[in-house]
Amino acid sequence: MPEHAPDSTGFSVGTPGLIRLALAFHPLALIILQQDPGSVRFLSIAHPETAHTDTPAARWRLVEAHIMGIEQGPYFIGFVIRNVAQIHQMVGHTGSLAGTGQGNADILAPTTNRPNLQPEPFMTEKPLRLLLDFDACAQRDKGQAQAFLHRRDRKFALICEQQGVMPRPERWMAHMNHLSGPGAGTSAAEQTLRFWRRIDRGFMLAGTLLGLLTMLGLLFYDGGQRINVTVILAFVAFQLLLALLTTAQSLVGWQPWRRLLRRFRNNPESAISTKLQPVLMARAAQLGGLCFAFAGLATLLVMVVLQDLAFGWSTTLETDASSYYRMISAIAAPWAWLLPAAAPDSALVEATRFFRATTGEGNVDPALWGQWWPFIAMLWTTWALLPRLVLSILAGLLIRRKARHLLASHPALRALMYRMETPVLETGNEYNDASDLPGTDTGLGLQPLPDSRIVLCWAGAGDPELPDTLSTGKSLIANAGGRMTLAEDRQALEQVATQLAQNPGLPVLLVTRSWEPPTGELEDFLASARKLWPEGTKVVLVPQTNHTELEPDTPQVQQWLRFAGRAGPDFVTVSLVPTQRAAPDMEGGIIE
Amino acid sequence: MKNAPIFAVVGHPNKGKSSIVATLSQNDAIAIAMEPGTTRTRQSYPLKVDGKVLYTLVDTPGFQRPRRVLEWLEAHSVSASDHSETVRAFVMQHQGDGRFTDECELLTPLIEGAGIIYVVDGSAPYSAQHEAEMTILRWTGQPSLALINSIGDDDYSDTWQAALGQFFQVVRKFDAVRAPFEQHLSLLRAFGQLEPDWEQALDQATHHLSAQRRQRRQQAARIIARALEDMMSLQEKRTLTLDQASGTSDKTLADQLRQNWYRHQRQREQSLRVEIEHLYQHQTIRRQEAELEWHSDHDLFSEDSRRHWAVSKRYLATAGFGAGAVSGAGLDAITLGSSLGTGALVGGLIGAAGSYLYGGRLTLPALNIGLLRDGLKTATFGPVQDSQFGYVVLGRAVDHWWHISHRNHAGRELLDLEPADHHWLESLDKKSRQTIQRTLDKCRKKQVLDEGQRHKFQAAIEQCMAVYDDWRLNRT
Repeated sequence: MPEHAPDSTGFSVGTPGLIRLALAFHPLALIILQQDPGSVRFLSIAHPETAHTDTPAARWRLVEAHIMGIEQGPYFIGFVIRNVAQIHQMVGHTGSLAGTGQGNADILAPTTNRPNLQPEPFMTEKPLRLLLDFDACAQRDKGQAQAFLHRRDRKFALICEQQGVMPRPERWMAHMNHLSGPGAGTSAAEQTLRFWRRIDRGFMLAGTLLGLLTMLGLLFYDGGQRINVTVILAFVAFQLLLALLTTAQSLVGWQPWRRLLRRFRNNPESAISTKLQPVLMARAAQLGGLCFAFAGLATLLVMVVLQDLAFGWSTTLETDASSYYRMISAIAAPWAWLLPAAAPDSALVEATRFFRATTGEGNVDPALWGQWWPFIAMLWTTWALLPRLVLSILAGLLIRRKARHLLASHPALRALMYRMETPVLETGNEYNDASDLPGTDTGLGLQPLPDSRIVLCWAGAGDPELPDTLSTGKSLIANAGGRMTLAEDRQALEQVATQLAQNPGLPVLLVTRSWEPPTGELEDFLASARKLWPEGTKVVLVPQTNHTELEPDTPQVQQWLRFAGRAGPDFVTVSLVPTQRAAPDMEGGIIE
Repeated sequence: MKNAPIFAVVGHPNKGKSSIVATLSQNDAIAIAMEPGTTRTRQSYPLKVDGKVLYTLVDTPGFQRPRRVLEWLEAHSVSASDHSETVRAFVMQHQGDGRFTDECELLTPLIEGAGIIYVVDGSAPYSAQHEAEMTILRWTGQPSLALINSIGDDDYSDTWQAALGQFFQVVRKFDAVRAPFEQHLSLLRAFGQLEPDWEQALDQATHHLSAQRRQRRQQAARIIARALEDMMSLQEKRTLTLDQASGTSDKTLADQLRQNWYRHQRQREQSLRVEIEHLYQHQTIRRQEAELEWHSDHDLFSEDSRRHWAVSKRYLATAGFGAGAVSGAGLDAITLGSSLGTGALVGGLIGAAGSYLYGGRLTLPALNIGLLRDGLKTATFGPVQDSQFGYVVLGRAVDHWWHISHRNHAGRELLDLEPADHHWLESLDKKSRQTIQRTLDKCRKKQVLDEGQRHKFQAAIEQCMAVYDDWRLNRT
């Protein structure tokens, strides 16, 4: 198997071993890799459409990627994507890949039959689930640092841009879940959905029972009084009205039962859940009504088979059979063309009017009474069952619409979009060495200015002129450092050496500029001085400010004290020229 | 692909070199106080957009032995045309040499193509002592810019300007601690002018930095809005059982609740401060707690504070009028206009009257001790009933924001927040005033705000910030 070295934008996965990778957004190709330190070997590509029987079954398991560090992830994927055709050629699979460019496109074109990992409940809830997941994710992100979120989401947007796809909420959620590993991130949504599914089931059960009982009650006939069609008509009208009201209510958003619901719910509500409650409740109610209608219809049909039912119509109003017939025909109009048997004719209507006051059957054939049942059945189906069915579907659609609308107007989504659109600007403030301060305690203290006749001016300290204390009565005033050349420095050292030879034991005053920090050059100079001058000579540094009547600031003095400490306190000490102000009492001790 | 420009910031320690870097890279965690003589390595501060580097600032140690280096260079060079190569040779030869580590550290980026940013202190007199360093830098042949910083009180920048002009392409004054943001951008653009290839990258960088500043302002408004909402609707609640209730007098309960309430308000205000500081990348204000002092006589709840920050009665009346008028307008809508606008007028008058009567005192927040019921006694304190409180908090928050947003990262002095002595809020436009008043009212009635209202509130606070900015600008 030829080795394939990773290209420069690759990665550095530390541990060798088998890495199985599933491409994040388009889980189509399963690429088996083996990584040895410094190189990557591709063992095989398994493409769903070109399954080869010789591929071991084990390789078909979609295993989560072990991508070390998120920075490496997209590069790694990008690298694989770019080189998949070559890999393909190396590994020798034929099939859907045909040539370099083509191969890449084929293996990465999205398929439509994405495996659906979860069973879909009634009325596919993808927008709802997405909304709830998104809301849960947003809640979790609330505590995170803004900079972290910005980086994360901007990175995602850049990956999308690289792949040429739009960064949409579903993609983002998929990306988040992918990063957290399998099975993550759906628990809150699951709980909510499960809760509502329980409510749905409850309503459906209640509806079934109620339907059964109600129909039994409506069709109660013990041989005495006939079943009044008018009552049934009224009941169906009531059902219809109820169904329409439920839908209207969900659209308006009125929820008188909120407190009751809160009692049953064990996890806290979020704002989103509260907004979704009307539509979810409406769906539950419609489903309940639907089951009610089904149960009623089933009961009716069973009763019709098992018993002899006698229907009639009766009303207090002064109405003759023809107007009643007209009403019945109007009601039966939707199915009259389909099932003429279910549309009663005027004869039936005329014949089956009854009054409770009269006893006896009259002169009507009892079988005629039963002929109403197709009408009742179709009435129930068309005006009670069908509307409920339609409205249940509508409720489902309303939920989806509401979920989509809530997602689009979710503040966290707006924030997410903003984070994805705005480039991440890092100004270089990650480096932090504020705690890495050098030691600033000074072991030394200032010494009083000794009497001396030798003065060296370091790096232009004497310009334009030295203060009187330092210039009067001196036998030698020399310059060194700064503009002077190294040769001139050497000369100055020798001059001082001559002076010291004549008057041993004299300290040498080295006047410096207090605001210029002591550099290595001064160190060098002092080192040469130590070698050149007689043993036991002391050098006294005298830092001067620009305004010679003032004393230098404490931090500046301290920097000279530290320097003296480093250069050797037995050789170098620091003093200040006494000024108009009272000389500070700084003999020994630590200066703060 | 062209490499991103690199700028080596060179100069003596304690001349503000690290301050320049700190300010431009918005990093307040750089050790500004450097100890001369302790060898350091160079440190890079790249500016990255989406991970792509636009330019890099490199903080270098200072020259320690310039004369010796120059001596070596002059000894090994024949003519001016080989100067840069000689410098390169010097670095190669002295890589491990203990005496020249600082020089190698600072020359390496230069021989790799970095531009030179030479920093001097304009408050110290010019001296010719630096000429050795400046000569070495000129020998590298890299594009160069000199910056005159200002650490002390004196000003010798004119002499510096004249002298530096001979060694450097561009000479600019830049106070790392006090320069405003616009000057930072202008300085970066000047960096870009050193080389034609660098101009585009630096322009992009300045563009992104300006955008970031605008975004931060919006985010700051949002943070302040959220804090205001929280603080205006804060309510301390305590439920006591029968035994506890009998053991505690009403007064003690009230005191406890009041103290807790005040404590939580202070905490919330502190976390607001920290959030704003972190937004502008000021981390060490947190680390050095003593820096941020609340002078005791400007504490949140003192009468003094209210006098300074609170708005005048007249203001409150006009704001209240607006807010009241709006609720009156709602009445109009319901009666389909048949109230002929009197609803708005009446509502407005009521609102104004209420605000006028209330506005005089910082009335205590509502204390409510309930009756013993079902064996439980509930007492609440808050939310604050006086919208003056909201204005006080808002004023302080905007002032703090202003200071933070104008504070350079090189600054190390105490952040001293004194109350302003002028009611700047009065120049705020009417619509924003009404929005703020309405939102504060809603908060203290514990009504939930919806997204649209939050947005408007945030926009109104942004307006406040703009007004404050103007006012500050005009007064100094």
